Amino acid sequence: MSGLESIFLTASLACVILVLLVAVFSSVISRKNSRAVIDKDKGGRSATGTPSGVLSVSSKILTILSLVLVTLTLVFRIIQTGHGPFSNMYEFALAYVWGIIAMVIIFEWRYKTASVRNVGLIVALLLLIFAVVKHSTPQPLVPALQQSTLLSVHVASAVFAYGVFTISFGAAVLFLIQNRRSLSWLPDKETLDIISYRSVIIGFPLLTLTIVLGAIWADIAWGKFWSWDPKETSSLVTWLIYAVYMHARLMRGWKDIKAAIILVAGFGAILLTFFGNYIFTGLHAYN
Amino acid sequence: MASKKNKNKKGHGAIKSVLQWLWRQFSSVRLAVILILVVTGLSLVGALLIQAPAEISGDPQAYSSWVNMVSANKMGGWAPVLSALRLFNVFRSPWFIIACVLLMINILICTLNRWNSIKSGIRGGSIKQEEVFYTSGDSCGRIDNIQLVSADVALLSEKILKGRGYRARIQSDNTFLYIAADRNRYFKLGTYLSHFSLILFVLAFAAGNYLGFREIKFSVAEGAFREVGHETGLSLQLVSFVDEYYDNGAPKDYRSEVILYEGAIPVKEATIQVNHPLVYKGVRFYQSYFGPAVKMQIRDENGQDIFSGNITMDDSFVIDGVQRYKGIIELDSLQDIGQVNLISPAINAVDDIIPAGFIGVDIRNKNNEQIDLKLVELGKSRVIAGMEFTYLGESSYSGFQVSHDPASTIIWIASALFIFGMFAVLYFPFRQVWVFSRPSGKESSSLFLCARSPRGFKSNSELNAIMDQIKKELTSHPAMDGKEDN
Repeated sequence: MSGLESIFLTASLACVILVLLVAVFSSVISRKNSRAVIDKDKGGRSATGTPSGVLSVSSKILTILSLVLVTLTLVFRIIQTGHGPFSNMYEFALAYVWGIIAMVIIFEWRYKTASVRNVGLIVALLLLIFAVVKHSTPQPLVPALQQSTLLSVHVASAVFAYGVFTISFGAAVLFLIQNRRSLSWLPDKETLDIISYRSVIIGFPLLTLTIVLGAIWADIAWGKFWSWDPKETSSLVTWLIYAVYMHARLMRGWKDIKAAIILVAGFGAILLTFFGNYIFTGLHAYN
Repeated sequence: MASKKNKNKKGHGAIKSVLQWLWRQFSSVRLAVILILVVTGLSLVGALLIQAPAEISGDPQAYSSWVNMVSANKMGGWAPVLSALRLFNVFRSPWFIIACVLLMINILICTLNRWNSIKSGIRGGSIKQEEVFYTSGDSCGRIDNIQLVSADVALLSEKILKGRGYRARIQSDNTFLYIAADRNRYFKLGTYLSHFSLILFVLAFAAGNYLGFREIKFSVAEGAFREVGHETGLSLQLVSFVDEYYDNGAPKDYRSEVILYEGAIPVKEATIQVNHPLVYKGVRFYQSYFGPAVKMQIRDENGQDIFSGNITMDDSFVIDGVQRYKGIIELDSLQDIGQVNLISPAINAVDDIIPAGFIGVDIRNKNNEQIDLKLVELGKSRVIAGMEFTYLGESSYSGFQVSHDPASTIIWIASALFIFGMFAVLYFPFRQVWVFSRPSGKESSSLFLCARSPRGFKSNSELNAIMDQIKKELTSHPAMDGKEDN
């Protein structure tokens, strides 16, 4: 079983690399086409930046295939361990990758933007490399983690939240690039702003749910729903940053660049929370 | 007299203007953002900077030693500076508390301040808008040359809007017809729910800390009883404790078989495990830690039992690099003796002073001065300070956290309300559409539409969908030849 898990993990990594290579190739062609259009009709621009034809279809199919492969890796892991992917960093990294790929598929289908997908997939690729490095044989659960149902829901909620926040990060980064360069092959700023906001309004309630579920579990396991444990606090910092984003959008002068910067900071807080185990000591100290 | 009145009036005016200024400041979203950023920054410090353990924060001497230790090990000269800034106790620091309190006030005032706009949104504002409203807005469109009278066009628009879930209010002014439509108006109250639930959450958190109690170190040796205190009338007896391990040495299970007494009556027998606390009348017992206990018997010179039972060795300390455990027997009933400290070596520790299989008996007077210190071998007796000590055997103790938080239910209700309110606001956005129909000829009319959606939602897409639907309905009319001009 462990062999199959390793095979699917390697295949997932290869597939994500392939999607990104196709994306680079399609981007080059798209830029050439865009230049041709501009030469022909000054001011003409691609509406969405989506590569067309065969490459577009190929990248979509490969992205879906990546999701299938990561799903199979997770399934074989869960069959081995008998619980959700929450006991170590390898399992959670894999689940996070699943969340990112699922979200990039949904957002690409909804907004027809391959560029945001590609940023998301770069993050997924880095996490997959991390997962390959951290891959380990399953270990039995320590008593505090023997709360499979609640922990699985807690982690599932975090996976979707982190996945969708990766989309908002991708859209924010592209927004900042567009703001400086105004590239014809990238989505326009309004679309990127809408993608950022829509992803945050999905992610923010999910992150809230993650924190509340974590608090319920902490109350059951440790007798205190909030202990100011560094990882808890770091997730609160993440939540507060996205709360700032939600409120900043209501303020004059805080839209656009400042909002995009807040989203980049929010993603930094997610990474801090995710990798915090290697920095913090406390109740979440596991590897 | 008149000047005094004027002075009072001026004074009241000044207070009023200060209060108004404060109200304005606290009703600003900008202040909310600044305060959230301050709380975020301080929380980040709390996550990244080592924090003083909660149990020493009330003990200045222990805290000072801890800061010295941190200074020596990690921070060097920065430790006293960070300590002076209260950053080692950041979540109990005045900065954090003040920022949180100001944020709560800000949330309260911001929310109250929005009542009028929410109320007007729910009631519905003005139906009639000037024509310039329809021609100058960003999300506006028009359909010209409709071969129907304006009343019919308005009725058709009303029907379509109602079909899309809008509440449509219609008003006529001769041959001019106006419609104001809105959707999800009651979901605007979600903002109240989520913001007030945050305040409720913080109040419940504070009330729980004030009205409840928490014992983080509640050790009970096997076979022993211990009163919970805090006017609960409860006491816990530990029947047995078991710790199990996997083959790789990792912990598998900790469980305590206990009997809970209310007064002298046993009210509950239970197994307490991690993730499975014992709950009785709101008092919760959590499995938290465990350790060794010793079984000891003490007799006086006449052979009468002074003490017989298991003692928890739950105080761990290190001297000259050797770890030992300490347990205490209080002997207040004796005239000259205050307490007996039992000292045992740590498991697998190499201890030249107290070898394995022995226990140190340290007898103290009422002033905590040492009377005698001797070793007693396992299974043997020894007379020390006129008393016979028998080291009967080894045992275990189980450590619990005992807590009572009368506001915990409110905290979970507040959390649920917050999520519910957030869903209501974010997923059921308040949308508004205004329609104006006027004659453009004898049997023809023009239709003007404007839409407004919350930030982050494109009003144009909703407007286009409504206009497409209207045009589709119009094309089915035989006399109709519509022409759009966005």
